[in-house]
Amino acid sequence: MSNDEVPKETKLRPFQAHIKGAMGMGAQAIARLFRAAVRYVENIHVVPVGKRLHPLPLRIMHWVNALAMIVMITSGWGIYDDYVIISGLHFPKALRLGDWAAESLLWHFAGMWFLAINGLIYLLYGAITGRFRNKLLPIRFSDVLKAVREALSLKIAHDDITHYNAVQKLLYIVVIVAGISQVATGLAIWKPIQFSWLVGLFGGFQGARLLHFLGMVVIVGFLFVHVALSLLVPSTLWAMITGGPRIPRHTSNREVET
Amino acid sequence: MKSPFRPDKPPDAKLLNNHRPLIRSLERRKLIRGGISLGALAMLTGCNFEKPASVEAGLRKMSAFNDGVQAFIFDPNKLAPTYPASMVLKPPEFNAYYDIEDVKPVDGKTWRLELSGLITDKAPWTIAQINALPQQNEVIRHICVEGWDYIGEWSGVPLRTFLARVGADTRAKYVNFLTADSYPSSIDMATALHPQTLLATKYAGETLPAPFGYPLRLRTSTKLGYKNPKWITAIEVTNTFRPGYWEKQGFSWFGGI
Repeated sequence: MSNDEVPKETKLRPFQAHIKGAMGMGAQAIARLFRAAVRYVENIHVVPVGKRLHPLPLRIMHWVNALAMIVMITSGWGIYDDYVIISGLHFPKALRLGDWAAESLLWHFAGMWFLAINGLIYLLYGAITGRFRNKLLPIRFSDVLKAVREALSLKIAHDDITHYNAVQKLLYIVVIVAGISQVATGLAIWKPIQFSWLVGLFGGFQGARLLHFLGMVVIVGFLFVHVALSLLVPSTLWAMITGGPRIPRHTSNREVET
Repeated sequence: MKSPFRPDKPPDAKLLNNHRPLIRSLERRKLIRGGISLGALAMLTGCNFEKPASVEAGLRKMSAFNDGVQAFIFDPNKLAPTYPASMVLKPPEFNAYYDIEDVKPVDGKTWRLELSGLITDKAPWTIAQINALPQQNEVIRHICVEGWDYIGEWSGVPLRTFLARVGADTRAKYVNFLTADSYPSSIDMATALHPQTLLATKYAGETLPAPFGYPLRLRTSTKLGYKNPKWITAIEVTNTFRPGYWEKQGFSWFGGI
């Protein structure tokens, strides 16, 4: 191989080689960018970009509800302590909202508006957007049993936070029903004469009081499981703050399962 | 080592001498102690740092709003359920801001019911005069804000009958009560005119026992227990809002059930 046959490039002076290299890289980058842009435009038309797992309105409702629930539960404990249902069961002062019954009542009757109005919007939202149908249904007894067995053997598969297992679905349905029940029994206790028909439904004034107490027990029980699991799988907690992954449209639990 | 805060040129010795006693009295411990006392003083002002006054004010405003909602929900024609006489609790439950042993009985012979405000005939009433008015009997449920309840049988003159008799202006907003046990109370006119609102003089067919309001007490079927003042001494019909004993301390004024 003679010197004349040496490729042109090697004969270039260093700075010229740099410029050429840079130009080549620039061209490649432009081409890559172009291809990406084409892919992006194609994707817009071919694969719809889905909504977040938890859309913004839902996240706002979740945290308003969380705060309202804590206010209602802790102020409710203050009211309960004035005349207990289970003798010997008192809630410690440190856990109660309000220094005494009057103050707890003030909190309770202020918090009720936030809980009830936010809850009503949530129910309408869930029904209209199809979120309830997509996330919480269908729910099969065999699936619940399977999920319980798995949970008991500590095999909690939760790598896909966009789908609820049967136990999760059941828990969410139970707590939603408990929330509705709390509003109904609460109205019965607040206005036992004006809403006497409601009191009749709950087996009298003390019956409504007992059901209101039991509803609290169910919700607090849920709260323990809910918070513990969200801390065990922090991506779920993060998703309720930032919105979580985008999920393609037209896919739901129902379609995945069928 | 020389402190970086020490000035390059020392200050005038005379000035330093003047300030020496002041500087000597500066003690770090004193400062800390003072700081702690300042904190204690701040607590004495009633400003709870965990619960600012604005929160309390907000809650009270919300309660006033709820009073409006309660008045809206109140149906002046809806009667409270009544029960058979066999369900009546004898004697009734006692409740006041003091214990039953501390009840000071009222002498029915010297007792008079004073009237004031938007009332045509303000002459005071004796118990005999009140007993001569048309009587009504009702077995209704008493519900306490604490959560307990019992069924009681009350008799007396309906408040609306009494208000009509004395020529009260029923377009006024409030009917206020004063009592022998310093327990002022007030109710809305709609509740005062409710057919089951009584100026009660009897319980379970017997003259009211001393602890339950002898000689005259209010008994509404549509309000919580604390809205039923006992040992009434004066009635005022007015447009001036005067919150009662418990309401001043944060309980709902309307107190409807």
